[in-house]
Amino acid sequence: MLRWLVGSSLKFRFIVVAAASALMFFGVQQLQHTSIDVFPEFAPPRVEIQTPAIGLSASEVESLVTIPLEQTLNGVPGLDVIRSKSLEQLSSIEMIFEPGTDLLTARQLVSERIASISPTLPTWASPPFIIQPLSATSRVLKIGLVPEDPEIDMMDLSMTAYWKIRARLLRVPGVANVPIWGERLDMLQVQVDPNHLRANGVTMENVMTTTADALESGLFQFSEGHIIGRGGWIEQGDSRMPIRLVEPIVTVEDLAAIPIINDRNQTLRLDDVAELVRDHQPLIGDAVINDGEGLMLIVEKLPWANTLDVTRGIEEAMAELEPGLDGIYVDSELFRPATFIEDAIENLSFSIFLGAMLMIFMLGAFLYEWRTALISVTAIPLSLVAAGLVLHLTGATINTMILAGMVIALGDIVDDAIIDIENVVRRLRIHRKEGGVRSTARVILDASLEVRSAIVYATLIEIAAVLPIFFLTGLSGSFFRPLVTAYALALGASMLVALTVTPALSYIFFRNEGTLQHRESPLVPPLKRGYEWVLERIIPNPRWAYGGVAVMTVIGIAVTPFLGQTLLPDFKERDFLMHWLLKPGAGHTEMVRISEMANAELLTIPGVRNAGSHIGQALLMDEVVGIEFGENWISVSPDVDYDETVDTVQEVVNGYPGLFRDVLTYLKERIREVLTGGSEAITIRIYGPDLQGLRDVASEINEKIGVIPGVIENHVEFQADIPQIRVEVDLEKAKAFGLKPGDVRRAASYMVAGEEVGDIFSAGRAYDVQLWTPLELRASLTDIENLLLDTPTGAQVHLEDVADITIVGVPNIIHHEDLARNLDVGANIDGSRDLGSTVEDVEDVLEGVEFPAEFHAELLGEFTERQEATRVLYLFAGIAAFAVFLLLQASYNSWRLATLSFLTLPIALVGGVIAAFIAGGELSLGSLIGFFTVLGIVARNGIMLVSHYQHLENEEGVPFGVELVLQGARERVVPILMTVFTTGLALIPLIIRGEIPGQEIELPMGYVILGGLITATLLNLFVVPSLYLQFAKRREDRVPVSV
Amino acid sequence: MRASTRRTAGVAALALALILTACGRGDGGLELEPPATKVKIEGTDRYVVHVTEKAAERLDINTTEVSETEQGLAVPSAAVILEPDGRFWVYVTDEPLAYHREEISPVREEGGWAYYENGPGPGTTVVIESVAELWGEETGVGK
Repeated sequence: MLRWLVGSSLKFRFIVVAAASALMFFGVQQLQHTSIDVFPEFAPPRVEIQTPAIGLSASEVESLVTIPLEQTLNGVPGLDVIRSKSLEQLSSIEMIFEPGTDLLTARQLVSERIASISPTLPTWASPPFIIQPLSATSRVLKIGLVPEDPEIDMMDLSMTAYWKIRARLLRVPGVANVPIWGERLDMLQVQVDPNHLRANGVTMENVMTTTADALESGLFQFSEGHIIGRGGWIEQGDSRMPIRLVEPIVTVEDLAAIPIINDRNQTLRLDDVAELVRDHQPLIGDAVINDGEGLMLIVEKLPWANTLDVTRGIEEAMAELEPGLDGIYVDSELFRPATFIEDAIENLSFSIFLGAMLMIFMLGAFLYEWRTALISVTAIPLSLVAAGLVLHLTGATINTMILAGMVIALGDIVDDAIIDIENVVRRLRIHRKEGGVRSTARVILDASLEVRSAIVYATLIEIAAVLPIFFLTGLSGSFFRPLVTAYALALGASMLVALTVTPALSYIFFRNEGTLQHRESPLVPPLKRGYEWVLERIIPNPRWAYGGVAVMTVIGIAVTPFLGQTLLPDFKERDFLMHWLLKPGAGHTEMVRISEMANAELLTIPGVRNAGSHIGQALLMDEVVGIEFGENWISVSPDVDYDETVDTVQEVVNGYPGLFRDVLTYLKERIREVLTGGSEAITIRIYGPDLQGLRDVASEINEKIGVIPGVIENHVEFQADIPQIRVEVDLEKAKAFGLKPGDVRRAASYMVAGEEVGDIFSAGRAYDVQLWTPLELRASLTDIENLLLDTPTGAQVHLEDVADITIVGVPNIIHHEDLARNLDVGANIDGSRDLGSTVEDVEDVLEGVEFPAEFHAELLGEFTERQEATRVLYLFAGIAAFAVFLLLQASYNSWRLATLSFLTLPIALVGGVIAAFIAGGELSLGSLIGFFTVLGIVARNGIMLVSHYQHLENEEGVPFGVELVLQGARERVVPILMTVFTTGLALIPLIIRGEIPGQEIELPMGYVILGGLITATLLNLFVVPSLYLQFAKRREDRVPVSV
Repeated sequence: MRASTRRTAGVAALALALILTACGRGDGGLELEPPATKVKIEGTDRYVVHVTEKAAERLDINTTEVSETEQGLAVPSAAVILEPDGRFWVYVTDEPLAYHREEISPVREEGGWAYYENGPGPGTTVVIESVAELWGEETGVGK
């Protein structure tokens, strides 16, 4: 079959070359349209269901809303984990599905189940709704808006933001939602003071009903205003004319003039009994832009949308809107992950480009023949474009992982072509020198087939070596599978190219006599001579070489325990986020004040360009938190030193006592969120039935891990009791006044929380009309006690006269995981020790804790993920090693030689370990992946030497002995070095440019591969010849070798 | 033999050097001074919160004095914290940068002031801004 393939390529060489050019042309065009992102989508599919439940506390939400929903949703096919949060007035359930589950199918199944359970939920709980699909890194852009014109207040700004800006942004393809933090709905409030009501002979109920009836669309089902009357039509003669009754109430003045009839049958104006003001709704959250008030719009994308495309679309839309946003300061750079993506891709691409240039230069220097070099070099773009096309057709986005896979494959791509060309040229020269009669095509065919097995086996060995990585699951799998897929595809493509395009091109180029002049590179003779000189001294006394190997191995083993373990490196993003939490129970005013002060200080740090915070919740959002929760976001200019700025920010943030605070980058936080649902490096999740027990165990564990060196920011998750004002109607007392509990509840909630009674529609917007009380009447506990309620007799009574008002402690939030209550203890590491050793100490602590019955704890986080990934890798590494061994055996057709080659592989690991140690002493998952790839590359190189020895012995009849070994080594040193250099040089720019955005994961990988290559090549060149001499003797001819 | 001794010595030195650099890799974390510390008050479950000067500046801790009125002792409502068990507290200070809680009872609030009978006497300095942070620090938020 291979014969047919190569033969046909030769026969139809021009077609092959044309096809290759067409592939390049169309491939490059297609690839320009591929979406680019920095990382593959690493979160599993998830569905989040939110259920607002007005007036319920956290425990009530848990028992009345969350638990019934969870129990119904628990059996949805494909569900992996179900987590929930129950807090005051909101229930949120997050369902995480197995990777590979179709998101839309999952949503469909979930919504069907929700439909079946909704009728049983409390009627005042709004129906559960599934929020829009979100991805792992769903926040695309944060836009800050601040009113500059004094005529524009926050409510005007909110209305503009919602009706103009948000509406326009939602049209950008890929945008899922744009929640607005700090939104203040422009509403008309009818504020009643119960004291004045009595004086005027009006009840609150009266005011409400009158207002509702006056509006076109009253919201009360029982009010007359609920029915929007139809205008009808008249038919006169041949015509039909519709009638429209126009709503006259448009402004505050219109509503103020509404007549209201009191209990003395007098007609008053509405504004005689109530104050009509323009104000906003009670705030569940807020935003701080730079160091003052403002709105924060957070643009969220759909999981299948691409960050760069969406960012561009948003920026275009904002540019379109700009002329209409006079008097508004717009900052759309508060958070822009696209910047990191652009930097990362640019950096990595440039490193790859430099590497390719270096490689081509080296090829030219060694081959010294332009045709050969050219043919080898064409293999690079062809293979890469082919691999990229396959990925594009399968719908993958180009990301740094795929680019990294291609970098590693660069060396082998060129190598495949070189092996083929080299042999073709050699055979052609010999053929022409000997004056052979075969056609050029036939010579090329035979020459290519001669080395075909080497190419095929080499490629298969490399793919087998990285096979374990395909079996990674979870987060690690999402990150690294694309890398090995790209690597394997590039290798496969290059093998194909070496069997089709390369022979075709060589036939075209080397057709004529004169093209085969033997011009050896001036580098080669001294190299060969020097090598032979060294080898001649080693072979008689191989002890030095073996000693060197032993020393290297010892160093490698000695160094291994010092290597730390991490999962993923820190990404050099320029956008930072700080969690900023006050103790639960803290209120809006203080949160805003302290956030403004913190931002003001952060802005003084050189390099910090802008700052913004979002606090609490917004309407239609995905932050299920209380008002005490805030996140500060800053963006840092690329002109300042990264590490220094991070340290300064840490220092400032640390300087605020009494707050929970930390400093993270977005990607890091997102990765942790995917791993555990929390944002710390180490999470200890404690499960148990009762909240107090959970808190006790958690605080014990928190104390104990706080003393472990390397642990910082350890805290128990904020599930605390907050004070709640509990109003329970005393039936006897209420009866005395003729009041039912429902009356009391309604009246009290209207006065304290307000109630929407209708809408006014104007200029295409809807403005709420709300009944409420002035702030002074509900500013303290005493005010609540003194709330005046209307009674059927016309008298008024204080709330404390008909109800017991007490302060109780209630949980602020309750978490579930898989239907069990849980509480987290989280901690971060400060960098003085690596994650692995710190976690071991934490595990020891956990062993020593005594858990009450039905309680247990689990350790989660990056470390657990890493352990799992390592376990999978080791498991399959054994199988891969066995596969490599078998392939070696098939290639050499000798068990002895296969063993020989196989035993030279571990030295590559030693080199990788030493290189990792020099590079910084930490083994991240990327380094582990590097080990696998370097093993494949090294096995390939080993084949070149040993198979050539075999070839000399079998085909060319060179007798076994020192001469064989020397001749073989001399003939192979240049190709071996070329192979090593091609891979090495591709990685050098990466390593020199260091830890810059885009190269964080590839850098440790590059170190490991380079280190492994160096030691393995030294072994191949200086030790394997001696080993071959000693161990590869065939049983038949045992002739004593003179050493 | 000397060549081999030199070679072995060289290799051993290399190994030693590498291992020593490993030991040197101990520190990587920032040394940060805590902005506040707390000291337990004997016989109670409360603490005195000591704040550094820089931290006090950052929080902008503002204070005022307890005043005496006909309705009782008075502090601004902003100074008052309510605990989940229903007790009211204020943060008082008698030495610079040190704050501790005192209970006030019974509490009646009106017009932005809180009136009480039992608690810190007139003239005592109470904190009216950054109360939440002091409380957070005392209860172990954000160590």
